Amino acid sequence: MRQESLLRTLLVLLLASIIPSMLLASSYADHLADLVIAFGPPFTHIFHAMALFIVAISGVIGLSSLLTWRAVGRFSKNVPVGPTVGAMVDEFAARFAVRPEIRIAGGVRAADMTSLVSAGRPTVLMPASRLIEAKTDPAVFRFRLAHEFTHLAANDYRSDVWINSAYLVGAIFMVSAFGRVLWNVFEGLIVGGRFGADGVWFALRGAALPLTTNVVALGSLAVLLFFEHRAAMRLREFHADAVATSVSGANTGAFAGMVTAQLSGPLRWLYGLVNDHPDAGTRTTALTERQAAFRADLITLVIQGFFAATVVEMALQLLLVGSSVDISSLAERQAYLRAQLARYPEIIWGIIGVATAVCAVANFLVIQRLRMLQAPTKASFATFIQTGLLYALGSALALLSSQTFLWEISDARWNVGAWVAQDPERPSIYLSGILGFALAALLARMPWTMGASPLLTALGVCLLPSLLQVSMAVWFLLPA
Amino acid sequence: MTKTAAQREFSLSLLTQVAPEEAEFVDAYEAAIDTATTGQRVGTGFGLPPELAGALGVAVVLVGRVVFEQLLEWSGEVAKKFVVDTAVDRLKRWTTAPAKESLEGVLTSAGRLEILSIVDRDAERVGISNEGKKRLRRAVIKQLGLGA
Repeated sequence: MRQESLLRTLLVLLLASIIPSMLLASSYADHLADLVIAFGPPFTHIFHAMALFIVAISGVIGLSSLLTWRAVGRFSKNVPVGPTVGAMVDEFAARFAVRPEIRIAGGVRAADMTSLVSAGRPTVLMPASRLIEAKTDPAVFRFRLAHEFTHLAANDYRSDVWINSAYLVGAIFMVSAFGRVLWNVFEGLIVGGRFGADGVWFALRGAALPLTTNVVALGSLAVLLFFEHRAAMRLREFHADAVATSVSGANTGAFAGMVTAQLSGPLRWLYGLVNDHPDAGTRTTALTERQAAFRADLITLVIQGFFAATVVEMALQLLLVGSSVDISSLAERQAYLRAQLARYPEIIWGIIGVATAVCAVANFLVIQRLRMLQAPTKASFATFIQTGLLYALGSALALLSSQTFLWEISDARWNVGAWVAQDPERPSIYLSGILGFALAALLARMPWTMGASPLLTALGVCLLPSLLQVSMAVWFLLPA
Repeated sequence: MTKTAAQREFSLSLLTQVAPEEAEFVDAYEAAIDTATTGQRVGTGFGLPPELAGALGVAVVLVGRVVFEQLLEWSGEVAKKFVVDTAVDRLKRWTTAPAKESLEGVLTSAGRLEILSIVDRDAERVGISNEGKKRLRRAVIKQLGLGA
């Protein structure tokens, strides 16, 4: 769980930083080109957008740290918590190799303890009204304290600060990019207005598709990044429960008083998607059945499929930035890419390499999840099919939310056959990715890979879908 | 003894009588009351068990603080309605060493009623159980010598 959490944090940080930066760069290419360092085309604007992202996220993290320090500072520190709680804190500090500052927070009515990092110092905020639990229900208190110590030892709070900061800056970048689209539409309306109502209507009709594609593309990315972050937070809670169980023993009483939403049906499902803590029932089950934690969030398979396909889509757009499908034939795209490869080989192979690595991470997360869910029994085949379909669903969503795809399919008058004839490489690359993933997932369940180390699995199996996609791209776009 | 130390001593004496198992947490309770704001919640991971709304120990320390502040106020001003004229000095000595002095005969009937109404009102406000309220009332009466 910890390994998956780390990889998901890395993947989300990459996606939340790279994609919005590229969107901003393409929207404000003229403004960002040679902004600080004049090193010329072709990707100077992307470089400056990413530099801007780094500066912005550093500022947000700094501001967040300052606000946390101010908020925590008003809670008393160095207050004696009594020998009972003190002994537990000393025990866990030695076991987890973390010595947090204990601050008393909360008045007569307060919720539960929480952990965070303030001014670089791990801290546990402990409500005064809950201290008595250390005597009335010591097993529950120990479990909850061990749970918070696990979060601190695993640096979960810092991960969340980084991700939330990346999301905030990414969201600002995406809104800015969308603002550029709106500005262009507005300019179009102004020009159209010179020709009267017909001109305005013509401009509006022309703006409908770009507005729709941008809303769909940016909206779906933002929503799925949010869902992924929440799913990863829930996984970290399972991890903290698992470690607390190993340290202090399983304790279902720790969740007895949890507020569980009195919801049912779709609302309950949605609540489960957006909440940062799993529901009490699943947490209780996961204390004794480890697979429960991995079954709880199958949405992550859709999300990883979406991310892998989105990265492929971004790579294709970068590689063919000057030769999109609606203005070139396949032969022209081949000539363009050949010329780019001759002129900027490091950049072209760099794009392919980074995209392959990011997709491999996404595939690794899914396949590792599959290995956690699987038991070598007949019944597990259904889970294998379910996993593949969820991953494929995510890939399909990525394609459907792609601006390029929506443009191309609308140009082909929503005729899929005509679209494939016009842009054969794109569906082939996606299809090869899905088939490659199915093959990789099958290979990952073989006895000789099930016993293999995760590194071997990553190298040997998770690269397979990407290698198939690269092969397909080379076959179409760089024929011999 | 400083006023803060004296107030802590009084709160601890009440806590020892009402909820002796919570006596070790008196400093934590004092710190929490210093920084608490109305309706403050800390963390959401495990939720709020209903039985802890109005935790007894915190409530005792809170009520003890309010009572001490009231008696301190009466010791500093002319409060003929609540304090017997000839006992003001005893009240002042009590505010510096609550464990060593008794308030027997110091407060008038109105003063005793006022103190007990403060206890009842604040105990009700923080939501402790009826049994807790009774124990707190008895502890205040005993500690302040209000029974005489």
